[in-house]
Amino acid sequence: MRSRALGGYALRRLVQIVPTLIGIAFVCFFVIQLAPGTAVDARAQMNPKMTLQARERLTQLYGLDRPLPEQFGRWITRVARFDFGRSFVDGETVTRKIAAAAPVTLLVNGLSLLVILVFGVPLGVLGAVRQGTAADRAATGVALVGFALPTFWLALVLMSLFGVTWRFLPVAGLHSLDYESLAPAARLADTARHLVLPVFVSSLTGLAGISRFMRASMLEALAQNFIRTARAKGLSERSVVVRHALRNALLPVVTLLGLSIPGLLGGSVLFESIFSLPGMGRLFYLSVYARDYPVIMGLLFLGAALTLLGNLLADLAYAWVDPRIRLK
Amino acid sequence: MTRNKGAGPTLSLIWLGLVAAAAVAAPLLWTESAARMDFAAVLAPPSAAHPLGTDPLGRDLLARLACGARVSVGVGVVAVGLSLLIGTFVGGAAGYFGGWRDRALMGLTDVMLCFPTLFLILAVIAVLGPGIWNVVLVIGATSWMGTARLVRAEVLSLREREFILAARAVGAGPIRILRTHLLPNALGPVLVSAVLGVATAVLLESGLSFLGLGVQPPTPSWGNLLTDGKATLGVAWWLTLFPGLVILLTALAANCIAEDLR
Amino acid sequence: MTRPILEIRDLKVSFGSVEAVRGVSFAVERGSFTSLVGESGSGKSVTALGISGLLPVSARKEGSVLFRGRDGSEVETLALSGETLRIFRGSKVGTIFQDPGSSLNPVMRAGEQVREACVAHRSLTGAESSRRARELLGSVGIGETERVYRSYPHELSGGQRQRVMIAMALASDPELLVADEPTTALDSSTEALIVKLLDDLRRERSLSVLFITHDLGLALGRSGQVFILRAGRVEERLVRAEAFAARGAYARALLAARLAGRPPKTFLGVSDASS
Repeated sequence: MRSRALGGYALRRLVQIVPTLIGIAFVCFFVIQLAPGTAVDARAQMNPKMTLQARERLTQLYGLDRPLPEQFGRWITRVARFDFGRSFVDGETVTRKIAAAAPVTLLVNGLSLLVILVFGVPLGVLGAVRQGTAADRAATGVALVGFALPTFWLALVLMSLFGVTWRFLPVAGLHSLDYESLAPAARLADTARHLVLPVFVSSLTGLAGISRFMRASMLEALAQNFIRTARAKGLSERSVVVRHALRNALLPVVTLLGLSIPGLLGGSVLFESIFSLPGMGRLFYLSVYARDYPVIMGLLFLGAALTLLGNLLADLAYAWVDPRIRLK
Repeated sequence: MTRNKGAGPTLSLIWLGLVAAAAVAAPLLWTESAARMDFAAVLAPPSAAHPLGTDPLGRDLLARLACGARVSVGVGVVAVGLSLLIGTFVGGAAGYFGGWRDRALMGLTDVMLCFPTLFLILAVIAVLGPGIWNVVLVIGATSWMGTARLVRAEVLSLREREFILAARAVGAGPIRILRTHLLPNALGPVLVSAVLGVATAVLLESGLSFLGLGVQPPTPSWGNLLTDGKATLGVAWWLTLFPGLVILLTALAANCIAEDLR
Repeated sequence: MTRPILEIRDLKVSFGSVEAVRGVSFAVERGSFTSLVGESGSGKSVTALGISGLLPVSARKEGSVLFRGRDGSEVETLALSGETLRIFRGSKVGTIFQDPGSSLNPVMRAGEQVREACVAHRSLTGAESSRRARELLGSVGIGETERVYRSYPHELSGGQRQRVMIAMALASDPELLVADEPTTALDSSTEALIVKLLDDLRRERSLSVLFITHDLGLALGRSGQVFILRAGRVEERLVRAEAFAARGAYARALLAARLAGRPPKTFLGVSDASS
């Protein structure tokens, strides 16, 4: 019964998303308008890499010489069809380039989310249950460092340690050179070894965030009246913490996971470049260097759309697990 | 509220003080040292002559880091200032006027929040080109949403209070009311947000410069000093360690202060 | 004449520098309906926690709270800890609280919470425990047992929630039920029903009930004895027949307020000789 109501709720939320998607497309459109030779002409001086040829292709692709409303109309209809044009670099359709790069990014970020969940939640619970002890203070300290850490620096340090000094984890690429010749099980192991460092570095900030949040959420749950009732029933402390406090404290964590998606995507630009992983982040970086605007716009739109989708999924998941939320 | 404060905030203030001093003084005193290429001591590890080592061109790392402070922190502070301006304007207008203006402005805020920050920044940099002022502009233009929401919330809660109604009765216009009554009350959380914002901006700038898309050499910034670190990875550990450490300590100090302000 | 099921001697509880209970002494006769009446801030809830073994670890306690079981065993409640304390809670003393809305876990179904209470001190199979839980829900006057069993707390009325709480408290067959202001958050018609339910259960199950409230009239309506608590001490003991001849000015003032229809939750400006 609840799942049917959830379906209706999901549909309604999907419809609500459409204006935001249009807004996203508008912002992307606005960014293109900043390109030299169009709305802001003075910029042309500041960007020596913008060749005449590139400017012509831009104009041709986005119809930059047409009136603005018409431009936006053309842009929106093409976005709705997922048509972002062809790459300036190799002529490949943008959609295909992104599709080739997406799995790697999704894999790394997916694993990061898993790591964040699996390690962040217990850390936070520990901090709450052992509030004030040395363990709690240590965990809080580590989390604070995690927030301030330039993670790309940590990536470099780890690369140096594992790639040069200790040498037991690979530091570049997704597969070893002899990947093709390996058996399926060995291939899996090989990919896994290549993913250890990127996933570790990518998940750190999110881990810090979740553990702090979980700790606060647990402390709040433990202060509620129903905890007193649970103890009055004669339940063991462990039962009280896990069956009562934790269950309540975990609810908002779902939403938080959804909110870490933009952070993970942004981070992937840095990590994939450092670890040479052929994902969307590295594609973005290379495209920026090459001023490959169609690809940049495609990735920009997609990144925002994925964030939006992540938020939606988080909302739905929360509505599903919290029985108090009415789905009418 | 008194609490055992611990060493954190004090140490943070000391570190930030050092950084500020470097930002102000270093470019005046040490430009020459930062730029001087000592070909006898290329890629030298830390020593008495060069406490933090030298880079591939023999330039002293400590001097470069000190001069980089002005750039990195300066970018952070100015960018946050810009984001505060935009955010306060958007949030204040949305909260005060309400209605379609509120919905439109908040809609814009929600849309902006959908973009992974680095994606948006890089896209704009791709269009405008790298460089210190573009970086400031872009970071400022993509970080205002938090402030907008905060300010709007404060304005909404204060809007119907008596002293506002009194001011309106006297004939004060919206801008004046915003400026003299509403905004000073919103200052607290905005300040915390601003300090945290500086930490984030420093991290963003260093990430951008590290990628080669932020502050361009030869202007030193902590981020592009790390690019040297990457190039010499495994050979010159100090070129990677110290710039990163400086960024970390600065962001940590700012977070600590913000936490304490709360 | 059997000995009292509960004997409290000079109980003192403080949190940090705040003395919540400053020397409370009274006794609860076995099988009786006894009330503890006081305004907010009088220390009655803290006393209830002390009796139930639910005081936080940070509380400083002195004095004696002696619980006498039916089997003749005597337990100093304040000295319990760890596993013995866990066993005591629920199987010897059951507790219900003021706000059933916040005292029930919002993300667990009502029936599940009752079932959980059933197996806290007894091992039963899944089928046995859910059957027992349903029985309990029926015995506290819940008509639509099945619907309530499957509902979440927010889907139930205030009266139903409190009945679920009572069912949970009785699940492990305690000998004493401590009811800390169970009707304060309910409307007056439901209030009367819940108080009657408690009294009925008392007689059916040979339960002793300690009823804590700020409403003196409500207490007098049911109780054999009423102890009046003020500023952390027991000020007076009333037996029903004598109630209208109450001597202390404070008790008279409380009574007057109740008769005049004013809920005496907080009582400012009462002057009496013992100020």
